Amino acid sequence: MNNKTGRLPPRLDGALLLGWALFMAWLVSGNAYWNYLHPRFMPLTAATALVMGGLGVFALVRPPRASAARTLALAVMLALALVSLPPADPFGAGPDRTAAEEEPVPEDEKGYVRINTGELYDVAENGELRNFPGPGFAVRGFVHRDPALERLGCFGLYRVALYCCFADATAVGFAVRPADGVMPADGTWVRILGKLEPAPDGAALPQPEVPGIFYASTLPGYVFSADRVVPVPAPPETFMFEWRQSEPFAY
Amino acid sequence: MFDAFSEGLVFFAQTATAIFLEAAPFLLLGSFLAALIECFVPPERMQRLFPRRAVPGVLAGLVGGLVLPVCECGIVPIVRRMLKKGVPPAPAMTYMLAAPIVNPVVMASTYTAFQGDWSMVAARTAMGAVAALVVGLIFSRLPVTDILLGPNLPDGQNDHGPACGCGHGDGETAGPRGRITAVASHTLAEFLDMGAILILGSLFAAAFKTLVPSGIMALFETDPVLAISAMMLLAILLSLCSEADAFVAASFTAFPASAKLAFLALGPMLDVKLAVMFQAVFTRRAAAILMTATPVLVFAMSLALSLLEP
Repeated sequence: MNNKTGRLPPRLDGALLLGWALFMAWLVSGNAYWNYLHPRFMPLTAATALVMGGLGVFALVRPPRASAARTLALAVMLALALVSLPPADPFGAGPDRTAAEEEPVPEDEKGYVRINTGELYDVAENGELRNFPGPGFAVRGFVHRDPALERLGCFGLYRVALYCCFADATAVGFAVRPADGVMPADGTWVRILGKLEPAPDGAALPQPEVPGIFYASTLPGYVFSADRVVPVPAPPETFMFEWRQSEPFAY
Repeated sequence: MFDAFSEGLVFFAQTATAIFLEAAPFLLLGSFLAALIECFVPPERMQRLFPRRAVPGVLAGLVGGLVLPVCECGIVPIVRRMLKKGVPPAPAMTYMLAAPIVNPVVMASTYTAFQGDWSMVAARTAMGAVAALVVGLIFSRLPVTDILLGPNLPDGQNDHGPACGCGHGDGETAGPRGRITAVASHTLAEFLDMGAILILGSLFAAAFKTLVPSGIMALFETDPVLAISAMMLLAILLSLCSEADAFVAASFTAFPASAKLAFLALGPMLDVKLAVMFQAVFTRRAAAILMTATPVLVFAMSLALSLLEP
């Protein structure tokens, strides 16, 4: 092997680092970032892209010691990153996303506490439901129909919580009993209005599996009695990134 | 069928990419710190910082974890560099295990995830500290040549020189420009070496998440021994960041606290990414100690805690 070809793999390392830097910069500047990482990491990813880009240029100018295995690993990982585009969004988001946060509060929600499933879960677990004496809560999430829940006249309403990265996502939600008994379609997004109440006779609720999610927590001991169940488009970000302990909740 | 395969592949790719993206900044930081140690801290100064005797040594390693917190993704290159600079194994290995868990950032995230439950914070920190101290004491009996693999041996006993591309040995480190070049070279080499290992670990963890059926954890939540074992296995396989794992543990609401603590104590000290890094940096004997003593200690402590649970 002559000197020129001998320097190819290390130069490839540099090119691959530049590729990673570009991928990270693209993620930070586009709309796909939250499918991989919690948005709070954006500045960190941007800084990493900058440093990796610098190291990539450095590696092109001054190639490090060659290692085929190392180069292959970087190449495979970059190829997988590209394969993951567009990222999977298995939790009901469709093409009709709307910027829900920017919309005015619907008329029928006036007086209800807007809250996300994770926050409401914590409110119930901490025994703080009595602190919300109004008409109840407005919550949105995706529907999961499960035979065990349906036997109790309920469906599951969940949001997926993303704590750091896509790998640590878990579903958090509760059993919902619609007042009119009409079950929404599996996988659709709905907005529900009503009250979280202790399960009748302290019934033990099933803990259904949610497809695509490694672990799902269904609030034990409570059922959400929904006065209204309204189909809605999925929010711009389907994951929950934030929990608040008091109003205004992250919703 | 093709659709299912295609969906699975995208899910796998997305999970692996997410883990790599999350860990890369910390590995880069660890590589940079390791390069600074290499280029600016003479071995004799590094050795003076840490006592040679076992007990003071492991205590110094523990304090090091508190004052210089580094997450598990970046710790291995730093400890490799410390050992190469002549830091005794006891404090270095204690620091490696303690820094990602006995640190203020992780304590704060645990406190937040468990909604102000100081007992979880205290128990997690104590379990991490005890495991790090005991494993550090085990390593105090081994010479560094029995811990680091050949190419990682202390300066003067390895192939470090012009071939590594850092400029050491060819007179290029003199002057500010030479020093910057040397730091960049070392950071690059360290990041590329460890990055490849991180990628392998990310692929393993993503494969686990893709292939194991959802809901499987629910099978283990009632029996304490099964729950602790399952949560420890999960901590190893998921390879979560120690700053986020408390939120995941808290979401396992049906599991007993002792099982959640097993997950929280073990994950930052041993997971798939770390196991692959250990194999690449340490001898088989040292890697075996890290991969057996740590989980055994965590299991024993978790089991003892489970006896106190109602």
